[in-house]
This record gives sequence, structure tokens and C-alpha cells, in this order.
Amino acid sequence: MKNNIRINELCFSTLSSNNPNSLETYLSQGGYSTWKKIVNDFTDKQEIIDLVVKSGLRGRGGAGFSTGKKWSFINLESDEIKYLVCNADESEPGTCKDRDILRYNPHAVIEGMLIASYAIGANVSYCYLRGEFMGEVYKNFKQALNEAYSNNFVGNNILGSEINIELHDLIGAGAYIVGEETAMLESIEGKKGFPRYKPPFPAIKGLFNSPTIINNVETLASIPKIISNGPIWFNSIGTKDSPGFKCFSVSGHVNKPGNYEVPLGTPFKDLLELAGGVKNNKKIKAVIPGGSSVPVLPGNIIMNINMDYESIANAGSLLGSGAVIIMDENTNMVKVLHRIARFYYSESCGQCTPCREGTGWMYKIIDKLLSGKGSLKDIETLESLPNMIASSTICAFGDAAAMPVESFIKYYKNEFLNYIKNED
Amino acid sequence: MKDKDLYNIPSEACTKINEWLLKFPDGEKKPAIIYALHLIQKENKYIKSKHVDALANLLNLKKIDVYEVASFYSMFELEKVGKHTISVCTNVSCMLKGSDEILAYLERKLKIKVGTSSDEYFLKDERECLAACCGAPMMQVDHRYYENLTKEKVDKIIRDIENEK
Amino acid sequence: MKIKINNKECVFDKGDTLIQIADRNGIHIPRFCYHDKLSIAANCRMCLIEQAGANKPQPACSTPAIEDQEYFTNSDLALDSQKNTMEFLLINHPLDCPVCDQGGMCELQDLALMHGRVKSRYKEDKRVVVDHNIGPLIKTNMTRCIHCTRCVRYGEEIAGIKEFGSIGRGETMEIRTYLTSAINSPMSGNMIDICPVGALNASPSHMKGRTWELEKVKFISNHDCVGSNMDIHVLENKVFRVVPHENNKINEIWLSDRDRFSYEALDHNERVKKPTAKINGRHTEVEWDQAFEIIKNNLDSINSNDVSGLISANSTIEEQYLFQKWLREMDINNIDYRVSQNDFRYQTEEPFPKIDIPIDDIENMDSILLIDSNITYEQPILSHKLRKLFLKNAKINSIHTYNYTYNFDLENSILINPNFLVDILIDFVEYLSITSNRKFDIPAEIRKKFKGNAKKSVQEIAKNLLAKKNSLILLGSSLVSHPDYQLLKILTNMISIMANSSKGYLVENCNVAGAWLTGCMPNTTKKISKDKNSRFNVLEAINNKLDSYIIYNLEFIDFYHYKELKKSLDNAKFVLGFQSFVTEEEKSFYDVILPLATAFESPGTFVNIENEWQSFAQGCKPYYMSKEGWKILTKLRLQNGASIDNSVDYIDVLNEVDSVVRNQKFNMEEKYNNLVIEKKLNTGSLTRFGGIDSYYIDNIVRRADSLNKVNSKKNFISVNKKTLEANNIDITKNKLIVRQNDNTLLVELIIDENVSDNSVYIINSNKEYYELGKRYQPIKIENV
Ligand SMILES: Cc1cc2nc3c(=O)[nH]c(=O)nc-3n(C[C@H](O)[C@H](O)[C@H](O)COP(=O)(O)O)c2cc1C
Ligand code: SF4
Ligand code: FES
Repeated sequence: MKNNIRINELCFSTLSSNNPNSLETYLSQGGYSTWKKIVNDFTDKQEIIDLVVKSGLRGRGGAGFSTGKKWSFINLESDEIKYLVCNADESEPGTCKDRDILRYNPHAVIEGMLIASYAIGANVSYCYLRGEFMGEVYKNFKQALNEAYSNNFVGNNILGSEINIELHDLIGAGAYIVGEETAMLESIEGKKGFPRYKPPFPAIKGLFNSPTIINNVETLASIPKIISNGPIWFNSIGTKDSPGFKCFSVSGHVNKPGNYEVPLGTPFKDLLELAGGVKNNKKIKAVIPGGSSVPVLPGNIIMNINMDYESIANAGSLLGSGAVIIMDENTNMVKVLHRIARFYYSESCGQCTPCREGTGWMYKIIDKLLSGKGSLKDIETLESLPNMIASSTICAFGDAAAMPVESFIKYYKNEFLNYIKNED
Repeated sequence: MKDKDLYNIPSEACTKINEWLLKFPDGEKKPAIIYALHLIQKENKYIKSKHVDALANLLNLKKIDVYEVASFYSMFELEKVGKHTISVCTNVSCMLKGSDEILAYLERKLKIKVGTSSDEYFLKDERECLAACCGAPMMQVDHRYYENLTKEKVDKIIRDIENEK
Repeated sequence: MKIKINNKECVFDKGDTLIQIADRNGIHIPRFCYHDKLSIAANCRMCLIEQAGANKPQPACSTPAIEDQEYFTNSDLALDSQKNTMEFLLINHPLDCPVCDQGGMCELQDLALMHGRVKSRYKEDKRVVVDHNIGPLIKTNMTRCIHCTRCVRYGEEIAGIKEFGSIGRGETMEIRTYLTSAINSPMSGNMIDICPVGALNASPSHMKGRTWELEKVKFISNHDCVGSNMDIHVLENKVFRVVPHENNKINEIWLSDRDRFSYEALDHNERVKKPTAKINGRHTEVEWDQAFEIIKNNLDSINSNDVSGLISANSTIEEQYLFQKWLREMDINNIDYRVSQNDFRYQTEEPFPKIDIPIDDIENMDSILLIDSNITYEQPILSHKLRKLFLKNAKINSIHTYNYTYNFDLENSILINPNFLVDILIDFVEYLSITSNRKFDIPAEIRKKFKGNAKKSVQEIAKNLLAKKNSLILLGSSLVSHPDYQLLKILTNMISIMANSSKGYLVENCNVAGAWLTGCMPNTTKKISKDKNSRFNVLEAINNKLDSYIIYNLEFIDFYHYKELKKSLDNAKFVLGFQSFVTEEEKSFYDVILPLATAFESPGTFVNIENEWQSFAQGCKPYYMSKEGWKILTKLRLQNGASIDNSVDYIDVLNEVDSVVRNQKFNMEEKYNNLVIEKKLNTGSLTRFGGIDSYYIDNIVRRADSLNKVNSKKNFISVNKKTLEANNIDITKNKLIVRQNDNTLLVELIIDENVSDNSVYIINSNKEYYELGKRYQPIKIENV
């Protein structure tokens, strides 16, 4: 079965070459041909958007919202300035696919950004990389961008077409929350990363008050081939509601951790096998299937499901960003949750009351439990907090912080109870 | 974060900041704050009040606007730190692969507690995942990624730094 | 459009948020971050309500209503959400209500009672926030802060000076100023009011009394010309604190710091506590009757033409009216209120000091011209209106002698030496005479001064005024002392006519209009004065060295001719003061001093710059043995045999003033055919200029302790580099000597490019500057 899996055909296609990030490699695989054709034909914008809608591509940043539908929120008739932003702030714990796409296939991201900008009528587009990418990733991307400029794929009068699109690299400075799209807009504007309340949605009022579309690196890197190969090609891969390929970052207790781009709907078992199976032949205890923000699933549940949006949702979790964190039978779940809760506590932007106060409260209780000073009451309180935080904040960070706590206690309550010595 | 003397942003940095501003609509100055703070931090290792003053001046912004940004983003250091910043990711994937041991090893090796600095090193316990989970455990030294760490690998990395001097 | 809230049908307009609709319909939704004068933050999450069919609660403050939807503010989902938020807010809150100033009027406390869980489940350590000194007016207790960011938004949006920010992130985020910066805005006290908890407190009243012990009385501002409404809170017959009283036509819900904190002066140690009279050369406390007798005896023995009565434009209209009446009944006609004025030429009749449009109409202007106005500090409420205009994209232009700090941006500005203000206004007249289609007879004398081509910058501003439908020209209040003040007013008037603009002559005092209306000046209307022969104005009264002076609620430094006044007083036979405060030095000039209640301690009426009469009740009983001015003056008139009822009431006085002076016609002079132009300010050398520090402007604020700690009281002058070089000043030294006539002062030098060329900018903030000499006079600067 492993041999049947189609792997690394889309965003990671350049990995088959020795020099994956070079322009030559990208061109040799047909790169920029889609963009050239669009520029040459002045393809109707709506036509491109319709293609993307038909392809069924869903945003790879975590929420899984239909990309084509998002683009269609832009009013193409209006002559307002519009922006496209590529979200390269990758920082959902467990996720490391965007970093590799930017390292190994930067031109696909650039071409995707160009096509998306064109389709929504944006003349300026930004790629916002997280601050920690300042070294290799940023330099790599910057170099690719320079190549694209010098080949006139980007800039003024692109390939003689009179189409102008500026594409800029931006760099952050360390803040998970800036991955949230409206916080990213604030950050680009040079402010703290406080998410904005919605409405108005960015497609109406985004960057510098203008209509803006924000997409994830993987989403945009998928665009060129979707346009050139057509929606039918894309639809033929994956499942009905989850078409196409998806990069999964498999980490934790496996023999071959790594990014694997496979069709959606691939059975979890197969993915695990691709990643070399559980380390030291241990049993699998639990898996976080979509980044630390999604509910954890016990091994016995996930072993029987496929990696697509619906299957995982039906099992009670989310596909999220595609970060698959594998925990073997010896894993201390209280300690894992402690680590996750600490992350949300230190990354909450502090804007909304429930998240600012609640993430700290949850962390402090788990910390107390772990140090053996907790009580049954504390577990009760801990159980009630996720529900009090979720759905009540400006952005989804609150839900992200709540879901792990809720699910860890749900499945592993005994481990928590074991930490209680003095019953009161 | 206190000191009295004045700071002038070097002219090359001013040029870079002005070039950076070309990416944004006319008249927008704030979008340069993060980039400029990176430049300043690179030169000075950490950001002092005189830097904030100078940048606010250069961009014609309120000092509090610059300070808000400097204090929000975790990569900006507002207290004195050592020459090299070592950030060990201790988020979930790395923890599963033994990042705590790596961190403890570094503490012993460099003789500094996590979160503190010697003249040479600043050892940081990175709570935010650094997006190299498949290479866990990992750390960054001055923005360079080092993955699949072992004690031996850590020894080598530190040795290389020492040799570079 | 319609929605239902709690089954009640409510109509709304597109874009209205749920909280706005609920508020209009009397449906209560709890809130902390939402404030209807501020932008929406939607961060406290207290206002969550249920939308029928939605599984998530909606924040009412930021959610626009959807046509035909149903909403519930009291369903389980809504109440649970609110309860949850409340629990989160309280976990890190110190719950120290018994020792909190806000206790009893705290939004958090109120809501906690309604929404809180009975017992806190939070047992972890509470956050403790270190407080920083942010100046003398606001005392912080940031551990109580709930991060609603109202204060931050207030600074950015209303005050126009962002001073607070949110520093750091997450649970440890702190609301604070940059490092240890003190708050600078002249409207900072409003943050105390909008802070929903006890994190920001008024320093002077901090921890000194509890809300429920206070009585409140409405009062009208007595420090600028707009007449802000406020409430005085009284504790044990002392003013305890002052807060704004909403008046949407004037101050809305805001108050300047000056109005809020000046009450601190009331029990200053220079307060006049009892009547005193000079007996054998020494001031001795006397009884009221004794004082009255001494006054009568002295005034009876002096020719009425040799007496001058000078009254403050900060006194109530009742006092002003009775003052002139008392004097005129004794045939004393040398009355004036214009003590800081230096120019009395051109008009036989002083034009009514008024702004042509109502204050709230300023918000409808689309172009403004400021003429040398430091408006943000001198008239903070008017400045706030301009800020609102600015935010609505109106154009604000300015001609000024110093680049003042404004809380709005200027479109065009001209920096000019005070000697040339007249000339630049003539440039305007010249340019408008060509471009305006309004016919206006420009006096030949002014035509003669036309230079042929106005400066580009003048043209730009004039074009801007002409192009806009609603424009307004404001003449700055500190120009009152300019030697060409009357000329500046005439020119301003001409410009406003030709540019089809409204205009306003700003003034420094709260009741200039009252003084004008009640005829506290020579050449007043026939209705008030029967005296045909006009008498001395303040300048003439001082220069003519009269036998007697009666000074009402004024200190000597309030007079432009400060030193001349002192000489004349020294020379006089009988000097009478009605004073709330007196310094030891000034005391020696008086023969009798009557302790006068301040406006806080008396009922009264102030008429603001838009001719709005605003009456107020007595805030508290007069301090010490002082008495209300209207009572003293009534007594004095009775003693002179005036036919009034002994038992006259305050309200009778008000009624009389009202019927005698309210409906006067003001004929604003619009023809200046025979105008002779003679520019008086022409120093030909370095000129001293600069207004009065806004916390030194009158006898009350001068003594308000906390306000006076806001600015450093060091002596300093500001001069630009070019001027310093031209005067051979060694700029490496930070001290120098300034000289006016024979007087010198050692000062700190501030090299300041905001100062116009060839001039020395001094903010008058202590007596030494007055001893040095006058503003708008030549000055010399020398190396130490
Ligand atoms: C707390 C939080 C963090 C997020 N971090 C990321 C991120 O690091 N990268 C990303 O692409 N999307 C992130 N998102 C999702 C973005 O808000 C947004 O949905 C996404 O960038 C849209 O792109 P897509 O439609 O292509 O997925 C985050 C969302 C939240 C609420
Ligand atoms: S100090 Fe008061 S107004 Fe400012 S954020 Fe805190 S609670 Fe809100
Ligand atoms: S009042 Fe709505 S979130 Fe604060």
C-alpha cells in the first residue's frame, strides 16, 4: 500500500530534484507557465476564481475554509486598492510544512501569490514570514523573489503585459498570535498583534483599511498547478469534500518524522507507516491530528480513520494545519497538556478577558496538579474553563487554547486523577 | 531599560529603514518599526530606551507606539543579554523528543540558568514552537536552525562558536 | 429596519450595533470596554448576548444588527457568558473595594453584584502590578486595571496625545506610560472618569472620602471662555472633587484638568479669612461693619472722578452688575474690566466679545484659521472640537508667533514675529480684496499698506477659507495684551467678512461677556450709564494716578501695566480690595481688604463666549469669614442709602440683571472708513512675547497645588538658533541673562526652533517674569 500513495506531487514536487529551490528546477517542472499564460491572455479574473472554487481547495492554514469562496468576497468592480497577504507565520505547534515549502519550493509560493493577486485585483502583495525565519528561510525566499523580479514575473509591466504587481517580503518578531489573519494585518501595519473584531471582514476592510485576502503558504503554493491542471485533476485526488493533496508534518514518537504531502483521505495508518511507524515499536497512545490547537485523539480511534477534514471531524477533532503529533504509550499526558497550556498562556495577546485570564488560570491549575498540590476541585474547575473561554473571544485563539484541555481531560482523566494525593 | 545617553541610528540603517518603507503606502511610518527594531537589536544585542527614543524620532512616532511593539514581540530583548542567543524549543513536539534534557545539558554546560545570560550566551527556553517539529529536538543559535539535537551535536555547535572567535 | 431584543421590537438604521439599539431602548447590556465617545475595542467580552439560532454569543458592542433577527440579553447563553467574563475579570482583581476611591460608583462592583459568582474558585496567585508615578494629577492603582483600554483609546482619540499604551502581552500586559513619562495632556483627568474601575484616581482626592458621603452641586467652569459644566462634590462643606457634568452643546462629558483640579486652591494659605483694615499702618482684622464704615468714610471724602473701580472678568455677572451699580450710584464712572488689555484705540465702543457661532456648531466647520492661539492649552474644550474637525478631515490653518503644540495637525501654518502680525493680516485683506466676491469698503489707510503681492502661504490659507462653506477664524486669547489688539480685531473682522467666515475673539476669562453686558467699562450703553462724559479706562486710570482704587477679585499681575499699577496704588489715598486671596506683598498696598467668596462658594451666572447665560447654585458655604460678592455689594449699596429691600435674595439680583442687561443689541462695527492705521508694536529689536501659563492664568489656578506641579517652575526662555547667533549668545552655555529696561533675570535657555525669528518666548508662569517687564516689549539677552 505504501507504494500506492502518491507523495510530494504538489507543493513538494521540487524535492525530487537535487536543487529544489532553484528557479531552473521550478521552470523545468513547468513553473510560471500558468502565470505567463494568464498574463498573456489577460484571463478573466472571475474565471480564475471560479476555477479555484470548483477545485474545492480549502485553506491550509488551519480553518479549512474554501479558498475560492474567500476570494469571491472581494468586490472586483470596486476600484479600491486591494491587497493579498501570504501567511508565512507558521507557528502552530507541530507544524513545519510552510518552512519547508518556502525552503524547497519558494517559486511556487511566489507564482501562487501572483495568480491570487491578479485574481482579486491586488497590485500589492506581502509575504509575512515569522521573525524566527530570519535566517535561512527568509534569505531563501528573498533570493527567489529577486529572481522573480529580475525575470519580470513580478513588478511593473509584467512580461510586457502592462500588468503591475508588487510583491514584498515582510518579517515578524515572534508572536504566535500574528498567524491569526487580522493580527497579521495589525502587525504589518506596525502594531502589536491584536486580532481585530469582525465584521468588518478583511475582504471588506483589511490592510490599511483596504480589501485584503490572507492565505496560507501551502494554499498559495497549490494554486499554480490547480489552475494549470484544472479543477478536475485536483478533484480526482482526495475525497469529495476534501480534494487534493495536503502536507502533513508528522512529529513526535515516530521513526521518520517529516513532512509528507499525500492525498487527503489517506488512512492514518498509511501516513504512520510513511513516517516509519512508532519509535521503538511502542504502541501508540494518542495523536494530535492537526496542530496543538485541536482535540487530541486516542490511538485506537485515529488508527481507524482517514486523514481528511470530515473523517477527523467525525472522530471529534480537526485536521487543522496538518500537524500530526504522535505520542507513544509511555507518554505522560498531564505533562503534555502542561506544555501545551504553557504555550497558550505565554502567547495570549492579552486583549480579550476570557483568553487573557483563562489561559493563565488553566496553566496554573495544571502546574499545580503536576506538582502534586492539586485537588479534585481543581480538576472540576479545569474541566469547566474551556467552555467558558471558547466562543467568547475576538479570535479563535480562545478556542485553540480550550480544545486541548477539554479533550485531554476527556480521554485521560485518570492520569490527572493520579496526580491528586490529598483528597479534600 | 534605562539609560540617559543619546543614540543615533547609523546612517546605513536609516537608509535601509527608508527603503523598507517603500513597500508601504505613502506616509505610513509604523510598518517600519519591527524591521528597524531588528536592525537595532542586531547591532546592540538588546533594545534600550534610547533606541526607542531614537526610532520614534526618526519615524516621527510616539515613543509609546514603538515601546508597545518592542514589548509585545518575544524576539525583542529589553534587558541586557549575552552575545549569542540560544533558543531551545520546548514546545510539545520537541518535548516529546527530549528537549528538556537538551536544555538542562546547556544550562550545565554554559553554567547559566535558562532565561539568563552570561557575557557570551543568552539561554532562552522557547515556548513558541519554532516550526522545525520534524527535526525535534531543535534549537536556534542567532537565528540559525540546529535540528535533531543530541548532546554530542550540542557540544559541537558550542565548540564551533568558540572557535569562530 | 427592525429587530427584536428580548421580544421587544426595536427599530434601527443600517450599521447600528446591538448595544446602541439596546441603549436607545432602555435595555441594559453590561459593558466595560465600550464607551460611546470612543472607538470600539470589543475586548472585555462583557457584552455578550444571544442571537436566536446562533450557537456563539455575540458581542453587542461590535456586532451590527441584522434585519429581522431576534436577540436576547437575558437568556441562559447571554447570562452565562456574562457571568463567565465576570469571573475571569475578578480572578486577578484585588477586590479591595473598601479602600478604593471608585467604591460605590464602580462599574465592576455594580456588575459583579449582578453577574458574579458568589465565591471565587480562583486560588492561584493574583497578579500584582507595580505603579509608576505619572504626574501629580492621576494616582494609579494598576493592580485593579481590567485592561479595557478605554484610557489608551481616550488618549489616542479624544485627547489626541497617546500617553498610555498596553505594554507586553497576555496576562502580564500592563497599561502604562512610556517608561516613567508623566501625563501631559491638558485633558488627562477625563481618564479617571472613563476608567470603569479604581485603577485611575484623582490624586488630590485620593483615599480622602467615600462616594456616598458626597453632596453634589452643578457648577460652571471659571477658567476659560467656554463655560464647561461640572459637578462639585462637597464633603463637610469643602469642595472634595470636581467632575464633568454632561452638556452636549459645550463640554460633552469632558473637563479640562484646569477646571477639574483648580478647587484645590480654595483653602490656600493666602486665602483672605476676615476683613482687614490698615490701622496705624498695619493690617488688622476688623468686623464687617467696621470695614464698611471705613470704606464709606474714605470714599465720601474723595472726589468721585478720582476713584477707579476695576473688576475681574472672572467674577459672576451678578457681582459685576452690582459692582458698577454701587460705584455709579456714588457717581464713580471710571470702571473697567479690561485689565490685561493694552490697546483701547479705534472703537469708541468695545465690540461684544463673542464667537459668531454656537460652540457646538464648530463641529460643522470645514475650515479654520487660528490667529496666534495656543488653543490646546488655553481652551482645551475648544481644542477638542477642533480635534474632532481634524478627524473629520476639515482643514485647520494657523498664523502664529510660536509653533504651539496642538492636538490636531495643521494644513498650513505661518510662523511670524509678533511685530508683523498686523502686516500679515493686511496681506490677507489685500489678497481677499482681489479674490473675494464680497463687496467691502476697505479703508484707504489700509489700502495704502498693500504691498502688491501677498505671500504664497497667505494665499493658500485665504483660498482655503474661501473654498469652504463653513469657515471660522479664531483670534487667540493671549493677543488681548498685544499693543495692536484692537487693530488685530478690526483686521480679523474684515477678513471674516470678505472670506464669508464666522469669527471669534477668544478671551482668557470666563465672564468677559458678563462684564461687557453689565457695562463694567467706560462708554457703555446708555441703559446702564447715565454719565455722558466718558471716563477713564483702566490704562488712563492707572496713568492718571488717582486718589483711590477699588480692586475686585484681581491680583496685580493680572494687569498688563503691573508695575505702573503698583506705583499708582502706592500713591493713592485709599485702596480697597475685594479679594479671595492676597499675597503678603500685595496686602500692604491695600487700606481695606474684604474677604470675598470664590465662585465655588456663591451662586452666580457666567456668560460664555457664545453669549450663553449659565447660572449655578452655591457649591458650598464661603470658606472662613468670607462672604458672597453679591451680598457684600448689596450691603454697601444699602449703606449708601440705595432704595433696596434689606432682605434681597440672590434670585432677585439675578432677575434684575436679567431684565436690565440680557436683551441688548450689539452693533458690531463693520465700517471703518476713517480708520487711521498706526502700528504700535514695532520694537525694532528683539521682542518678548508669550502668553500666560495655563496654570497661572488667574488667582485660583495659580494656587492649585497639584496643577502647579505639572510643569517645572524653573525660569526659562525659548529662542531660536538664528536669533541666538545674531545676538552673539554662546549656545554651549545653558544659562543666560535677560534684560528689560533696568531689570534682569537669570534664566535657563532652551534653544527652540518653534520660536519666530528675532523674538524671545516666555511663558509667564511666575512673578519674576512680571517683575522683569511686560510682554510685547523689547528685551535683551546676554551671556552670563
Ligand atoms: C491563533 C491562530 C493562529 C494562526 N496561525 C496561523 C499560522 O501560523 N499560519 C497560517 O497560515 N494560518 C494561521 N491561522 C489561520 C489564519 O487566521 C487564516 O485562517 C489563514 O491564514 C487563512 O489562510 P487559508 O485560508 O489559506 O488557510 C491562525 C489562526 C489562529 C486563530
Ligand atoms: S486603567 Fe482603567 S481605563 Fe485604563 S485599561 Fe485599565 S481599567 Fe481600563
Ligand atoms: S463592551 Fe463589548 S466587548 Fe467590551
